[in-house]
Amino acid sequence: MHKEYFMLKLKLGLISMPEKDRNEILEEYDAHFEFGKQQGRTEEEIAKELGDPEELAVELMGEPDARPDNQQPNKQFPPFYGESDYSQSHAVPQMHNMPPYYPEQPRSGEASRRVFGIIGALFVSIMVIPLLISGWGVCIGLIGASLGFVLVPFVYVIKLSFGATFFGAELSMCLVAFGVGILLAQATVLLCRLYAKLNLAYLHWVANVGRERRM
Amino acid sequence: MKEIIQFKKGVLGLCVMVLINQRDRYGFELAQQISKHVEVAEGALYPVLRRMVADGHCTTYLQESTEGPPRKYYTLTPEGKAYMNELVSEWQSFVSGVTTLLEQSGSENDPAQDQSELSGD
Repeated sequence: MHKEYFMLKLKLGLISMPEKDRNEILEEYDAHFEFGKQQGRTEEEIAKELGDPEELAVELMGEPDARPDNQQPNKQFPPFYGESDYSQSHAVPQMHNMPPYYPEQPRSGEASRRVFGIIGALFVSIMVIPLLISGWGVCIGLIGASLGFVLVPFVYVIKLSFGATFFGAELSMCLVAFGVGILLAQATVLLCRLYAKLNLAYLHWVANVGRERRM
Repeated sequence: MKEIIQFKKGVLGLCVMVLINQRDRYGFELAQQISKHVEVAEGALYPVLRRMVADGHCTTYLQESTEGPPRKYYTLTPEGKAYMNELVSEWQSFVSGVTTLLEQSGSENDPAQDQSELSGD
C-alpha cells in the first residue's frame, strides 16, 4: 500500500472528526512515513508496519476521551426550570472547545427526550397559561385599586368645588386612603415586576424546548 | 488471535509510558523501540499517545530537525508518572499471577506453542 492510499483511507475513516483533530492525526502519520523513508524503508513496508488504516481510524475515532461526550448530553437536556437555560448558554462555548467526535450519536438519543419535552411543555402550558393570564388579572385589579386610593383626595377636592359641605372626618379618611394607595402602588409595582420575570422565565423555557427540536 | 491483539494493545500504553519516562521521545522513535521487543501494529501507537495527551498523562512539544519533518516529542506529566508507577506494579502482579496460573496447569499445556506465538508470525 502506498503512502497516499494509506493516508486517504485513514482520512476517510476520520471524516466525521473535527478538521483540526483530523489534520493533527494525519500529520503525525505523515511524519511517521517521512521518518521511515529516512531510514531507507519503502512506503509499502512502512504502511504494512503501521497496520490497517481503517482499523486505526476506528480506534482513533473511538478513543479520544469519552469525557467531553459525557458532559455534553447533560448540558443539552431541555431545561426544566427558567433558570437552567442560563447554564445552557454557558455550555455553548464549551461545546466549541471540545467538539464531539460522534455528533450524531448523542443527538439521536436525545431526539425522543426532546419530543417528550415538547409534549410535556404543551400539557404544562395548557395548565399554566390560563393561570398566568389570571395572575395578570389580579395585577390589573391591584393597579386599579391603588390608582383609586391615590385619586381619592383629588376626587374629594372636586367634590368640594361643587359646593359640598366640608367634614373633617371625610378629609382624614381621604388622606388615609391616599397613604394606603401609595403603599399599595409600590407593592403592586414590585409584584408586577416579579410576576413579569416569572412569565418570562416560563416563556424562555418553552422557547428552549422548541428550539432544541429544530436543531 | 483477537485476544493476542487485544492484550498487546492493552500493554502498549505501559510500554510507551516507560519509554517516555526514560527520556522524551517522538512517535516514530517510540514505534521503533517498541517493535524491537513486541510485535505490534506500529500505527496503533498514535491512538494510545492521543489518549494519553487527552487524559493529561502526557504533553507534547515540537522540535525542528535538520532533516525531515519536525518531531513531536512526548513528555510525561507528574500525573502520568504516578499513573505509570501504578500500571507497572499492576502489570507485575498481573504477570506473576498469570504465570503462577500457567505453571499450575503447566503439565497439560505445551509451552513451545506459546513461545512460537510470541516470536513467530
